[in-house]
Amino acid sequence: MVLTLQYFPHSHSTISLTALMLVMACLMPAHPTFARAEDGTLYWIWSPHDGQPALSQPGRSFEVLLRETDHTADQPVFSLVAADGTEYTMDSKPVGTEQSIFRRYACTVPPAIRPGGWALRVRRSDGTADTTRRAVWVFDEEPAAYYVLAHLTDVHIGKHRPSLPDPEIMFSAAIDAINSTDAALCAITGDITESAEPEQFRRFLALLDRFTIPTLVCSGNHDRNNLLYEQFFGMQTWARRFGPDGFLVFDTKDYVVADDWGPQAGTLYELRRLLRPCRYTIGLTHRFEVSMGMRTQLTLFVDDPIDLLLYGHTHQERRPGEGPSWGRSETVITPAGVDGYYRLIDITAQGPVPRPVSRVPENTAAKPLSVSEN
Amino acid sequence: MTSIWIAALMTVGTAMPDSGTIAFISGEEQSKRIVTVYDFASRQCHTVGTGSHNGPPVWSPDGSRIAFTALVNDRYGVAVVNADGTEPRVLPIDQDVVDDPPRWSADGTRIACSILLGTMPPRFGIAVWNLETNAVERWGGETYPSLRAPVWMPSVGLLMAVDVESQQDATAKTLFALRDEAEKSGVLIALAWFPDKTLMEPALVTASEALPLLYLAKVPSERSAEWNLQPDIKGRQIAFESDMGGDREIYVLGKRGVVNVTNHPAADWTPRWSPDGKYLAFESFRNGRRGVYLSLVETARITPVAVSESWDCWSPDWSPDGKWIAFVSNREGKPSIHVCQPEDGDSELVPTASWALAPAWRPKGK
Repeated sequence: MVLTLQYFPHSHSTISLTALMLVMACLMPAHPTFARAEDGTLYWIWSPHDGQPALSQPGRSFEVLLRETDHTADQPVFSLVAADGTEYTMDSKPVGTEQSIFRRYACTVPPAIRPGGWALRVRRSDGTADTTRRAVWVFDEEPAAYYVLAHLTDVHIGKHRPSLPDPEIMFSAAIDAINSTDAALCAITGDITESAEPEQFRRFLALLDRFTIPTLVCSGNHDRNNLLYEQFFGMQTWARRFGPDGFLVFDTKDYVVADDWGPQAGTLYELRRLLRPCRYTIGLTHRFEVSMGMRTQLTLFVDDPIDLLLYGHTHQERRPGEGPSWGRSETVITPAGVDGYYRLIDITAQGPVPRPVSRVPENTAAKPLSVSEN
Repeated sequence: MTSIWIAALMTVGTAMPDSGTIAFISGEEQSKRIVTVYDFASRQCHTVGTGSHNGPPVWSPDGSRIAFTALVNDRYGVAVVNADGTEPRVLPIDQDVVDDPPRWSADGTRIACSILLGTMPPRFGIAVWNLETNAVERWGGETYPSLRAPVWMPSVGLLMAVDVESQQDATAKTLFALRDEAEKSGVLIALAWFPDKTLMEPALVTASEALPLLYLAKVPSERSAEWNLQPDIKGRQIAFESDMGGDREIYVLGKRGVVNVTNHPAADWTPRWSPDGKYLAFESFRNGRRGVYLSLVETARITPVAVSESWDCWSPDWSPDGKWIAFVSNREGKPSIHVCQPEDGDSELVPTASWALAPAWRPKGK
C-alpha cells in the first residue's frame, strides 16, 4: 500500500486534519504505475524522485534530468500522476546542452494542480514510459517563514541485530512518528543500508514511500561499498530550494571526504551560488571529518557559510568539539534511526532551532534501545 | 605493483605534446585511486602508485621520483616511488598525514607534509622528512596551535627582504632567529589555522620558529582565510588565494606588496605559476562554471584558457617549457585530462584511464 501524498501546510492546528488525511490516504489504491525500473533502480528519470524531490508550485517550473537511451531524438512528454492514475500533462522544454548521457528539461506544474505529492511520468513516442513515485511536491503557496524539518539518519536497513528490533521496524516506527508531527519535510542523511545490497535499497525505498512529506536523501559510507547508490538515487551532490531556504546535499564517503581533486568541490560552489539568495542554507551530509578537503570547507564554512550542517554517522549526540569548528556554521548530529532516534528542528525567523532528540515509542523495541556502532 | 597498459591511440589528435610526462590520480572511488603516469612520446600509461587512496602526485625537482599521500598497511602516510613505480617506500611517522600534497625541498633531499595531531578539537602540524637519513622532525615550534599545507620556499631572498618597524620588538627578534635558521636549514611557508575565528593565515616556518607572513608584509589579515600558497620558481613572489576582499581572489605577494591579480566577484582559486613567473593559471567561476584562466601578473590581464557553459575545467598545471597546460575536464562526462596551448584555446583529450585527476607535469630535471 502506498500512501497518497496530499500536502497540507503544517501548523500545530492542522495536525488532526493531517492525521485524518493519513487515514483516508491508507484507504486509497497504490499508484497503478511502474515506479522506476522494475528492480528499483532509476531508469530514464534520474531526478527528481522520492529521494531528491522537486518542490514546486502551480504555474512554476522544475527541472527534470533524464538519462537518455535510444530515444535521444524524441521530445518526451512529462506528466504528473495522481494516486488514482489520473495524469496531468505538463509543458516542458529542453534546458542547456549536456555533454553527457543526461538531458535536462524544465517542466511547468499545471495551474490547477492540487497541492501534495505526485508521481512523475515521462512518455516516449513509442508509448513506453518511466514513472517515479513521490517525485514532485506541489505547494499551494510558498512555505511559511516557520516550518519544521525532521532529521533521520543511519537507519541501516539489512543490519543484523540479534535480540534487537529489525532496522525496518525501527525505520517504520520513525516514519510513523515523523508523519504524525508537523514536520514539512524530512532529511535522511545516509547509511540508509547496512552494506549497499540491492535488496536493502529496495526495502528502504518501499518504506520510504510511506512518508507523507518530501524526503531528501543522501548517501553514507555504508551505502557506498559499491557504485549501486547512484543506480538507486542518482546524483551525489545536489541542491533544492524550499520556500525561503536552500538545501545543499553532498556525499562524504571516504576518509578524505569531499576531496579537493574531483568534481565535487566545484559543483558545491556552483550549487552554493545557485541557491543565492536564500534565508538559510542547510547542508545535508552523512559525516564530517577534520580531514575533509579544505576546498570544500572553505566553500561551505568560510567564503559563504552555510547556516546549519546536519549529519549522523556517529550514532551519538554531538560531542564537544565535534563537527566543523569554523566560525558561523551550526552543526546538528542526530543519533541513529536504527536505534529509534530522530530529531525535529524548528526553522524560524530567528534561525534554525533544533529540538532535543526524539525517540520512537518504547514498545517498538523488544529491549531497551541502545546505541549501536556506526 | 606496476602495471603497463597501452592507451587508446585513435583519439589522439595533432595538438598534443610529442614529449613529456604527466603524473595524475586515476580512479573514481577514492579507495581505488592510484597514481599513474602518461608519457606523451610513447603514449603509454603506467600505474606507479602504491597502496590505495592515493593523493595528488608531486614530482621531485629533478623529475626522478614522485611523492603522494596513500593508505598503506592501514595507515595514511607519504609514499615515494621512482618515476617508473619502482622502489616504493612509505616515510616513517607515528601520526596520520593529511591529504595536503607533500612538498619537496629544492634540492630534493627533504619532504614536508601536514600531519594530524588531534581531532577534537582538530590540530595539525608539519612533518619534515630527511630522505637520506630517514629522520623526521616536526617544524614550526609552538607559536601556532595548528599549522598545515607547507610549501618550501625555493630561496630565502623574499625572507631577507622582509623588514620590521622596530628592530627591538619580539617579532623582529624572532625574525632574526628565523632568518638564521632558514639560511642553514631552509624555510617553509604554511598556513596557521584558527577555525573558530574563521582565520587561516600564511606563516614563515622553520624547524623551531613561525611568524605571520602577511603581518610582516604589513597586510592586515585578521579576518581572512588564505589557502593554496604558491611561491614562484625562484621564490621571489608568492601567490595565494584569500577572501580578504570579501570574496575569494588570488593575490601575489612580491616586490609591489600584495596585489589582487584576478579581481572578480566569482571565486578565483588554485593559482599555478608559469615557469617564467609571468603568468598564473587559475580556476574561476566568472563564466558561471569552473574554468581555467590566465592572469598576466604584471597587469592582472585575464585570458580564458579552458572555459565552457556546459562542463567544468580545473586543476591546471604547466609543462616545464611553459608551452602547454594540462587540466581536468568533465567534457566527456567524467573527469579526464586535457592539454592545450595557452594561446590556442583548443584542447585535446589525453587518452588516459577514466577518472583522471590532479595532473602534474614532470620537471625537466637537471
